[in-house]
Amino acid sequence: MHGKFDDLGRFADPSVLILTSLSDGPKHGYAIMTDVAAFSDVRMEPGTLYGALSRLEKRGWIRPLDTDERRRPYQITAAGQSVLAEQLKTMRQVVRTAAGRIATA
Amino acid sequence: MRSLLAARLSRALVACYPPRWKQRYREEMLEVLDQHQARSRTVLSLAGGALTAHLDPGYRMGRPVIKNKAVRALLIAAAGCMAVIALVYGVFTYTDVNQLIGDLVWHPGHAEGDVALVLTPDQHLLATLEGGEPDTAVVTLMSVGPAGLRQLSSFEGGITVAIAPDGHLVATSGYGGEAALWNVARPRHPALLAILRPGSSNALWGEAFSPDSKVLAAAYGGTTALWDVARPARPRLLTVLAAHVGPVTHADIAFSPDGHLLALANGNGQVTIWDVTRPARAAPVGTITVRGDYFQALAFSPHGDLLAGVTTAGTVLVYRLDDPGRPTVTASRSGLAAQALYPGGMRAPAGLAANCPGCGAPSYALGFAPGGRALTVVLDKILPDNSSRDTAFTWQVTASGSLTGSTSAARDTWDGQPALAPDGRTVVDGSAFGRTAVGLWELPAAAG
Repeated sequence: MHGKFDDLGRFADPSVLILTSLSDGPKHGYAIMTDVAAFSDVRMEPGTLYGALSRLEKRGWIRPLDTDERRRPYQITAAGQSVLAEQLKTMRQVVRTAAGRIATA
Repeated sequence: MRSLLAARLSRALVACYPPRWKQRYREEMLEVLDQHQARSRTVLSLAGGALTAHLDPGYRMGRPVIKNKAVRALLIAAAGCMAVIALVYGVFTYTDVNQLIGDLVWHPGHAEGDVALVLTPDQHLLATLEGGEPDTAVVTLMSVGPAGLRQLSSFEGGITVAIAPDGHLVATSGYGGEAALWNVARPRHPALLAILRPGSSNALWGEAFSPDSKVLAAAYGGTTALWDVARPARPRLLTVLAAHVGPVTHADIAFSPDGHLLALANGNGQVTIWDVTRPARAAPVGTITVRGDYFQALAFSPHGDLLAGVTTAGTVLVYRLDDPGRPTVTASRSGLAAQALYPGGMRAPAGLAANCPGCGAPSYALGFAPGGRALTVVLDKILPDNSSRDTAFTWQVTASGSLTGSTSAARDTWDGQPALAPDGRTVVDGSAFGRTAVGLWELPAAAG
């Protein structure tokens, strides 16, 4: 894997899941957790979620919106969409390679 | 780990984050924790998160509060030891198979009658209905949080109760065919918004909101009305579906997760599947029929490709809906009523004949786990003294819709319609006889 996700190391997966979740519109923390569980079966915990949100926000890949009472929605930025697209391209390449090797094994 | 202990530890760990972090994220993290079912892994993730945040220069304080390095190291080591002891104590001491999350008794001495229980998808708000008779039926709203259940408000009820997925609306049915729409966006202060009258005087037997909370389906004896409730103060009748044949003795209604299909069960053993993509022009697309039996509960899988139902005789059926016009059975398991035990774990009711004259008909709840890989049926088996036992059967669901494996869990309770929360693991049961109460308990992990 190369590119902008390198410095996320072991945190890359939650970040991809969160960016994917936000790609169809802004969501607050708990909505992200339930959405991620629904499309990936990954039960993200609050500590993991907020660690990843903090890193994504710091890199400018998401931005916080105004709070709705205690809930704060997050929105993916154009830079975040570009990083997600790059990451998905890499993943597709991995899937293609793995599928090809399994088929010929 | 017991949920209450995990919840308390989780909240305590939020206080361990660096001040700058807390200033930015504390309130929203606590809001998430209020809605999230805390477990041991929640505690571990927060402990790891707090440690990582302390190592992050962006959140580290300019100068440490405790300047002496040795004292600081000692305090960190002591805090670490305490956290490990608390975790180990929690993990190894509280491993109840059927974990009780919370019990609440309210309105002691209230009129006896049915209890209906519904939860919002985020499992944050619970609506209960007790009474079930004119003038006595009451809906009670409760918050569900780490500390258990908390009563928020009560208002006039009816035969059934439904809560919108967004948690802002509650629909109750009246006895003359009308439904009432309540604004519960501020659940401590519910407000009556509108009375819905579709022109039928038949009693309502079931209601359900669409996944986007914009359409309400209300099933009557003979017909089902679809209401546009996007502007709930001014609901609009969209159409009346006339698919039921003969008298309806029970109805169960389920919308598909995308809101495009509506499954309606009637008392003749028939389920009609409607295309409600454009609700005002809803059209029937398929039917399912069971002979000599009828469906008590229906549920779509999270991907909408499967429809599961459980019948009053205790048969669970799964249908594949690749073509909703031709549902095909992919799994069938019968005899659940016979497999479920009576209160106290008895095979036969003590002092009564095996067929148990006077025993109430079992009540059922049914639901898929969020990922769609597990299906759970909860069966409430009732003795004449109104004591009962909830038995939960869980199967793994294959990609083709077959059911494999089977696990079960049970808890003695009192007569009342059980409900299965949207997480597919939390069972809500209530009692209306002798003491009015509601309890939440969690099934083993296999149900997730």
